[in-house]
Amino acid sequence: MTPGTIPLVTQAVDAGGLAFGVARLALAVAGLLWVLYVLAVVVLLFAAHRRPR
Amino acid sequence: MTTVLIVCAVSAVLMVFTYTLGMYLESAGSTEHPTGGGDGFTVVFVVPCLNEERVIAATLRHLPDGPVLVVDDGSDDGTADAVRRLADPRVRLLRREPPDARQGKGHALNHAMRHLLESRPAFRRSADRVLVCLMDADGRLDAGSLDKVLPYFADPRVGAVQMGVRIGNRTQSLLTRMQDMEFVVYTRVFQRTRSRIGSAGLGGNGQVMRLSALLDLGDAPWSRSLTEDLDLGVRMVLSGWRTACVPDATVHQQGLVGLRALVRQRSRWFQGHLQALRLVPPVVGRASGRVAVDLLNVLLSPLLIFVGSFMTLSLVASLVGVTFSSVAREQLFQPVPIVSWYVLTFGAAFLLGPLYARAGGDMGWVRGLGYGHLFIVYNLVWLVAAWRGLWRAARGRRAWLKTERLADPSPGPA
Repeated sequence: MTPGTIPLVTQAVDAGGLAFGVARLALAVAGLLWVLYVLAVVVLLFAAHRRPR
Repeated sequence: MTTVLIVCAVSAVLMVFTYTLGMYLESAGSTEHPTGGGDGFTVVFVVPCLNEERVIAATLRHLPDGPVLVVDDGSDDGTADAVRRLADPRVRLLRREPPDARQGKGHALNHAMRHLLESRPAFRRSADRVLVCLMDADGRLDAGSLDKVLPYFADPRVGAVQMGVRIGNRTQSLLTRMQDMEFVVYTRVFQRTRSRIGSAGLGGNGQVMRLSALLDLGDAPWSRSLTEDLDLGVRMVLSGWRTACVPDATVHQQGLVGLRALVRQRSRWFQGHLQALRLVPPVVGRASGRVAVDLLNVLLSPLLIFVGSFMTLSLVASLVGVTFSSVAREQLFQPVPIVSWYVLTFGAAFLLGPLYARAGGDMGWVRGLGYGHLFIVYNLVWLVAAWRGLWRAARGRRAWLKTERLADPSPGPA
């Protein structure tokens, strides 16, 4: 564990326990995957729309 | 940054719910039935088999009139004997032996296709009027189902039609009931709307295809994918054909009674879905408009299952946190947080439960609502299956044991 991550873990424990830290992290990963999904669909649709016909 | 991503995650739930609501409302509109007739078509039934001695004889007895091609893909049980004992002149048994056998359902179907074209050369010349109806070895067509499907082929643009799937043993257990609800929801909400776009998914059982549409995909139209039916449907649409779904035409199949077998089956489907990602570039290169949106959404949807799995992990971790923190209990056990969580988690049950009750016609809306809630929980199966499928794909494992059939309780007319 690096010195930089110690405050983060402590903060999570203070905010309601390590479990809430995990919950927050998991939700953030879910959000990241969702953004990736939306971006992938939009970019691919844009590519399909722009292709030469 | 973390807070922004958390907001994105919550927006994901809302957007997926909005998407489901949109599909629900779109599918609730009046159904357009084809105006043309369904006369003049030759329907050939193709039934791929691998160790199906428990069900194959009853399935063949229940098929409507028409030539039947049974492809025995290297069974080592009594499947071939069961077919021979029927002595039905309509039925042709095509046996595949090792090393050609057991290379996947797609291989077996391509073999059937080659046989069909060689044994009936006239079919190639009249391919627009020849339909291939793919049936699973445990499939049962409802009376009149085929008659409801045939008029769709009066439209020369239609390449394939998928019937609605129901679970025959849905009253056997809660698990089979949930599988039935899954197919009904998929057919009534998503397939119906996709059908209007012209890109309904094909599911392998109760799947009727125009021979000319198959020939457009080459002499070996089925791929080696674990979900060769998904591949076939997408490639057919990319070739310019429309695919439709007819919810009123029903094919019944066996539901799985064990949770372990269900997870294994869904893992196989999920891994097949991952294999289908290779179709994304052709979709970008050849599809457009609503078809492109639909196909890309379907092909990229495995990512959404992982979104769901991390959300579920978050929920479980939160419950653990609440258990050990009295402060959190006081803050979260309030009406607003509880109602918010309930709506975000079970909101879809209020759409899908009553819909299932209406479609089934054998229960009231209150019971349907109860099943709707259980259905949300049931979908956790997909989360487990997705990780298992990903793990197998990462390790390069693609061989799967076949799902075991139950003994058929209704052997049908002799």
